[in-house]
Amino acid sequence: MQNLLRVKTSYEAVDDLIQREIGNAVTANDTTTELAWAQRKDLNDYAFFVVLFAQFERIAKEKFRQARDTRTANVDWRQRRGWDGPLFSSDRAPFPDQLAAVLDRQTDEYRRIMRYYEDRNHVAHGGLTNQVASIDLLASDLQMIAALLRA
Amino acid sequence: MADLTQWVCEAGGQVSPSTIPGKSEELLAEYDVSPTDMPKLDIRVGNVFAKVEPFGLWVIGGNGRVDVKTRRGVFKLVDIALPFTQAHWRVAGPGLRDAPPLSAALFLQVLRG
Repeated sequence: MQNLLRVKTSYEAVDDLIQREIGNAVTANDTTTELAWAQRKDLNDYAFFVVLFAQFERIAKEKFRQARDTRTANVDWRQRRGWDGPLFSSDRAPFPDQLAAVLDRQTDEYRRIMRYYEDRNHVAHGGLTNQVASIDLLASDLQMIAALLRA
Repeated sequence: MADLTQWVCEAGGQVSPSTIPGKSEELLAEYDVSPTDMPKLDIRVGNVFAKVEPFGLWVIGGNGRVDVKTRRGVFKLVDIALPFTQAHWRVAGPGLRDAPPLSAALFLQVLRG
């Protein structure tokens, strides 16, 4: 969680500088400069979105490993069942499966993470179709959901 | 847009509506949806000037985004409601990193910087 917060703090520092340039352009009614900085802001938001989601992914995977290791070490088969099978025995289980092990799939939070995951894959492979709504909102949502994960 | 206009007028500001001609989004173009004119607002409250421009419907982490360009930078109004439910707008930008819910008082604060 600490790294998620560090990335957000770094974003705010960089975004404040970009915002100053946009504000100056708006004040000067310089539309060309304003648009140029707005485009830089959108690209910067894409970059931070990918880094923020990567930090969330790391937290979720760590929670998953804790849950798996605790349960597979249990001598009681009722606690072990399903966790010691081939899908979960390595860390290579697909992210949606790992996430479903630590966050209820039947929740809005799980569905939101899966939407972010699709968007993250899109952006990480060069897609720039849909812009980020707001890194501030995304970061707070990721923090809130990270706190819901259960090992 | 109607709410924003009303809030500004009630505060003694002036709103000049106009349109962004032929606004489209990549996803819409992909499905042959024709570009359409979108409303935008130029706002003046006292000696402060700002622009309100709809950004798009298909955005990551929201149902839509409207940009408010001010002397302090761009503030983003984002609808975070579930699709096809009552809109729930939040506002984020410089000094509003916790993205509080949009209200008349907050919108005027954003405009005035």
